[in-house]
Order: sequence, then structure tokens, then C-alpha cells
Amino acid sequence: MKTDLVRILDGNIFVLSDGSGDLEAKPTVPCGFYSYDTRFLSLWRLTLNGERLSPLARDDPSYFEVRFFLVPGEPTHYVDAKVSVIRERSVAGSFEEQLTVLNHSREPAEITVHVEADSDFMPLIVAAQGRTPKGRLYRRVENGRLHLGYQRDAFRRETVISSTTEPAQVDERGLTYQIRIEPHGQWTTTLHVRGLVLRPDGEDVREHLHPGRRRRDRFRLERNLQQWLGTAPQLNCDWEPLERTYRQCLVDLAALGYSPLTLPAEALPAAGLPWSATLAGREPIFASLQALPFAPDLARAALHMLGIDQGAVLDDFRDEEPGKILREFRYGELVAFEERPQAPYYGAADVTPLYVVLLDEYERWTGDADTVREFEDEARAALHWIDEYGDIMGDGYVWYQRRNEQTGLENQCWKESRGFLWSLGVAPAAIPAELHAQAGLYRSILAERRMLILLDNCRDWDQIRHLLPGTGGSLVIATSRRRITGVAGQAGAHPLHLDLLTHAEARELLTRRLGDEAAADPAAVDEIIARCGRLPLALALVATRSVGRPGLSLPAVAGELAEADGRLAGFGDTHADLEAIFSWSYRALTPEQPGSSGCCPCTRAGS
Amino acid sequence: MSETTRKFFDALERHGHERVLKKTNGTIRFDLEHDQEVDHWFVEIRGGAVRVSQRDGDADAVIRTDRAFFDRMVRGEAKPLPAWIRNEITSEGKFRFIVLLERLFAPPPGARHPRDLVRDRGGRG
Repeated sequence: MKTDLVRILDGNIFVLSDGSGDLEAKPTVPCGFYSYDTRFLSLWRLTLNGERLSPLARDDPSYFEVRFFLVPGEPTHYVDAKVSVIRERSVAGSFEEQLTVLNHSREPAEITVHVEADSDFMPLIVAAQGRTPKGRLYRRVENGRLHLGYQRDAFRRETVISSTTEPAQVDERGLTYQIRIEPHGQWTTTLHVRGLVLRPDGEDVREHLHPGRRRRDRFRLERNLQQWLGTAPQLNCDWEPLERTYRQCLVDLAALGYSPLTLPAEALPAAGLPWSATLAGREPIFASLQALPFAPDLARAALHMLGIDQGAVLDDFRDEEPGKILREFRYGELVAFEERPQAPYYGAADVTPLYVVLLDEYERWTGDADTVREFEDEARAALHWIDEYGDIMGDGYVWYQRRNEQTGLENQCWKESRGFLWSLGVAPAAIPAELHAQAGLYRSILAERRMLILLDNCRDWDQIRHLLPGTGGSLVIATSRRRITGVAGQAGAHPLHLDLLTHAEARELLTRRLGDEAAADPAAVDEIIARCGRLPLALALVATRSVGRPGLSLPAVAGELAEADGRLAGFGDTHADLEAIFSWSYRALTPEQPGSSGCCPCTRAGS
Repeated sequence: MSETTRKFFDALERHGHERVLKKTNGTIRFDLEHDQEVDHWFVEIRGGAVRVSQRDGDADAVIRTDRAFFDRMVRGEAKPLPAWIRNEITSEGKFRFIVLLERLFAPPPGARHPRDLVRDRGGRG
């Protein structure tokens, strides 16, 4: 897996190339020009007089533009270069590349410039696995343009390559220019590559949507970016790195912006770049939740879009139920022919409750109650989903069980070990199936980075050992409610056992939280401390719940705890969080001894 | 005219408000092709209430497909969005009304309530 690919993108349109700007796709190197979940170019190779080019330098002016400075031949020869090339590339709605060849010598130069092009029209979700196409690939030259295409029934995708400024010889393998450059002169041409999503009548489907996608070019993208930065709150600080970091965060958020066909004038955060530049559920909710203080419109767009796609019927293939919020939407061939369910796929336990959380938080941050009223129906449908379809065991919890056992997603969220690799930028399809291979890839990526990895609430050593980096400067903090055996012997691991509070400390905690009330009734306080087994978390929760219930006396709290007899559902209302947090701790306790120490092993990789 | 199609639009006029949100407004024209002819169905949604006629008027979205395929969608055997991606239905106008179709048709035959699945398996799967 090559990790040094150069990437530029605009929503779900992106180009991944090697360091010289060439695209040569292989299953291990998923280079390409991608649009609408399809690879529209799998080969794009520039040669001068039959010779490949090597990079001298690169400039990345923005997330949708890149400039490569190249010379012919192997890197060791470039000091003698008589000719150099600037390749300026942008992706703004389509893929544009300006080639400039410079002659540095005192003699005129005769040069054959050749751009070789091809496409396999691979669906994005299998780009790193490879696949035998089920449809027909075609290529033809028409009016000086090269058309590369793919057709399966009425499904059709086409790449159209044209050269606007200079006449080229175009054949089915690419474009060729025979040029002569005067001493110290230069020659320039612009190549345009469009990825078309065609209907049977040969028209692009997007041209028939009104209002259509806004016209995009790099000047508009740049203007939009400046507008976006101007709308966000300004941060002024005499420590310049903070200002710079804040500005870069806003630029990154802009790059993440994705305008679905349904809402061409609104942008919500995509799930990830570039492989998950698509409409998803969980990721835009979290991203817009975190961005609420700076860019609350992202949350509004996410609520709007996800509400439109809210589930309406029971559908096993999509794991859809009425009121459910989607997990992911894709436009590719596998989805079109329902070999995969993402049009849209709903398999997720957490996204629907998160939708309601986002609506609530949006109002808290903006005070915009009208929006909450606007999404009342969606919120009620989501709440109904939680009770009717989320709580499948009838026990008050939301569970996950897919009904699509062939292509639905088996695991969720915290169970997604593959998610670690995904979040480190590995293409989903490049993630090996086998666990040891995953661990190897994970370690090789971490070896090059400095990261703090938090593994919360671990079960045992076996569960976490694959997630420890091999070498490098990363630090891991693993927490557990149990003493993890096997940690002590590991090099670089520092087990840290957090004991119970002493009686005096427990008393101090309650007194600090409850004030005079606790001081006035030492007997009730002793009872609560005993019932909570001197566990800091239990004491803190009881204190919080007691403060939240004015008029409730401490002896009554102690009494309720006694009646509950360890089954903490009996305390106060059966608040799910409280019960859940308690039950994790309590399951770890022996019946005789309501109290045992937590364990917190720390390990440092390599260093 | 197909009996399935006619029944669908009759039911849509009577029960459509149960499927679309109260705030939904707009018009959709269905152009259903069969035997070199095109049947028009004009659906008008105002405040979530649905009215159906057979006039051939301008609409926010025009959806074209053949009648047999439309009937498959009505019965829940085919889904509008993947069908749109593979060009089995084509459209003009606002994309959100193609998404709205997902709310109008029957669930796929044999779809299960998640709770029934769990019960049939006798607990956690």
C-alpha cells in the first residue's frame, strides 16, 4: 500500500496520483480520477520523447489544486536538464491539467509530448480489490476528443478527454503533440477530462436536475472558500500558531463539505476524504456537532439532508425501518445493480439517536427554535424508531442486528477494528481481511507517526495486543475496569492501578458535591459510601443524581440504594446511562466484596 | 391502463399524507410508457396532502419509466433510487422528488420487523 499519493478533491470528485502526477492504478495503488463513486481514469501517463518524468518539487496551493515541477529521466540526471515541465492540475467539477514545457537551452528543442490515457471504470468501493467488469468497455475518437466508456444495460459512464489550446493527434490510446520550442521558450496546452454520468439518450443525468449543481471552477471554489472563512467567527491571538491552526481547521472543514444532488445549494460534512466523500449518517452528525460553535449551518444541512432520506418502510436488503437515519449512500455500479445495498444503506444502531441529539444541540448553540419545529416530524419518527425498531430485545436498549446477511454490515462502531485503519486513511478496500495482516498494516502506518491512542474499557490483553504500535513515537493509554493480566511483563508497559477511595476521601467527595446537606447527616453519608463500595464513579453519579432531585433527603437516597440491593435500576428513575455505567462496574465485582480496584495499564511504544 | 397503477394512485390520494411529511410541497408528473403510448399521472402535494389527476402539466419533477417497471416499484419489488442510478427510470427537475418516491411505494415482499428476526432466532443473533 503506497501512502504517499498526491490528492486533490472537490466533494466526491478527486484525483489521486503519484509524486510526478501520473496515474497508474493497481489494486495495491488505487490511483485514479474518481467521480460519483466511479474511477474515470485508471491510466494517465506523461512522457517527453518516450521518457518518463521525475519530480523536482511540488506546490499545493489548495485542496483542489496541485503543481508538479518535473524533469525528464531519472532523478539523478536532473541537474543537466535542458527541458522541464510544469503540470498544474485542478479538480473543480471536472479534472483540468495545464502542461507547460520549458526549453532552458540555447538551441531550439524538438519534442514529442505524449499523454497515455485509459479507464477501467472500477466502482470505487472495490478499487483496491480489482474486479472483472460485467459490462462492455469501449473507446473511440470523435471530433478530436477521446471517449473512454463503459456500458452495462442502460447504465453508462464515459470519460471525455479534450485538449483546448493546441491541436493534438488523438488516437484511442491517448494524445500526442509534436512540438518545437525556441531557445528559452515555452509551450503550453490545457487538457480537460470530464467524467460523465450518462442516460440512454447520451445526456448527463446531472444536466437534467433543476436546480442543478452549481457551476464549479477553481475561481468559484476559491471565492466560496474565502466566503466561508469570512462567515466563520474570527479568532485573534498574539500567538500566531493558534490563529494558523484555527484557519486550517476551517479550510479542512470546507474541503470536507459535500453537496448532495438533493440539496445542491447546501453543504454538509462528508464522511471522510477521499474514499468516503459521500453522504453518510454518523460522520456528518459528529463533524457538524463538533463544528456547532463555528459553522452551525453544517448541522442544519445535515439535519435537512438526513431527514429527506429518513427510512420509510421495512426493507431487509437495506436494513431499513421507518424513521431510521441512513448510514451511507453511494452512486456506483454495484449499488445501481443492487449487488451492494448503499442506495441508501441504513444498517446502524447509533445514527438515529444521534440525529435527535444533533437537533437538540443545534438549538442549544444557535437558539434557532424554528429549525427544531421544522424538523419535528423527523425527530418524532426517529424517537419512534428507537422504541419500536431499535429496542429489538424489548429491554430498553438499542441493539444492532443486520437482516441483510450477505452484503449488510455485520459490526458496528466500537466493534469495527477495521475502523482504525480507515481512520488512518487506508482505502476501505485496501484493508486486508485477515486480522494479523490488518495489525501489520496498522503498525507500519503508526511507525511513521506520533499518535496518542486511547483504548477505553478494555476486556483483556488479547483484545488490545493487536492495537499496540510496534515502534515509533506513539503512546497508548488503555483503561479497564479489571486488572489486565499479561500487561506487567510487556516491555514499556506501566500498569497503574487506581484503588478505591478511602472512607475519608469518599466523604470529602460527597461533602464537596452536596455541601451542608452531607455535613448535616453523617450516618446517611456513611451508608451511601458503603453502598457505593467507595467506587469514585458510583459516588459521583449518586451525588449528581441527588443534586438533581431537590427535596430528596440523603437518608432517602441511602434507603433507595439499600432497597435496590446492587441492582441499580432501583435508584431514582431508571436512567439508562446511570444503570449502564454502574452495571459495567458491578459485573466486575464479587458478591461478597462490592469493590475492587480498577486497572489502568499504560504502554509506550518503542522509545 | 394497468390495474396496479390505477389502484396505486387511488390509494396515494387517500393515504399519501400518512407517508409524506406535513411540510412537503411540490408536483411530480409520472410519464409511464407502454405500447408506444405514454400515460401521465400528475401528483400534487400541498402541506403533505396528496391530489392525483391525469393531466400532462409542468411539474417540479418529471419521472419517466415503462409501466411494467413502475408496477414493480408499486409492489415493492424494485426500488426507485438504484433504478434511477442504473437509468431504469429517468428524470427531469428536482432530485428530492426522486428520493421522495422511496416513501410512496410498498415495502419489499417478505420484509421483516427486526424484533421478529430476533424472536425467530431465540435471542441474540
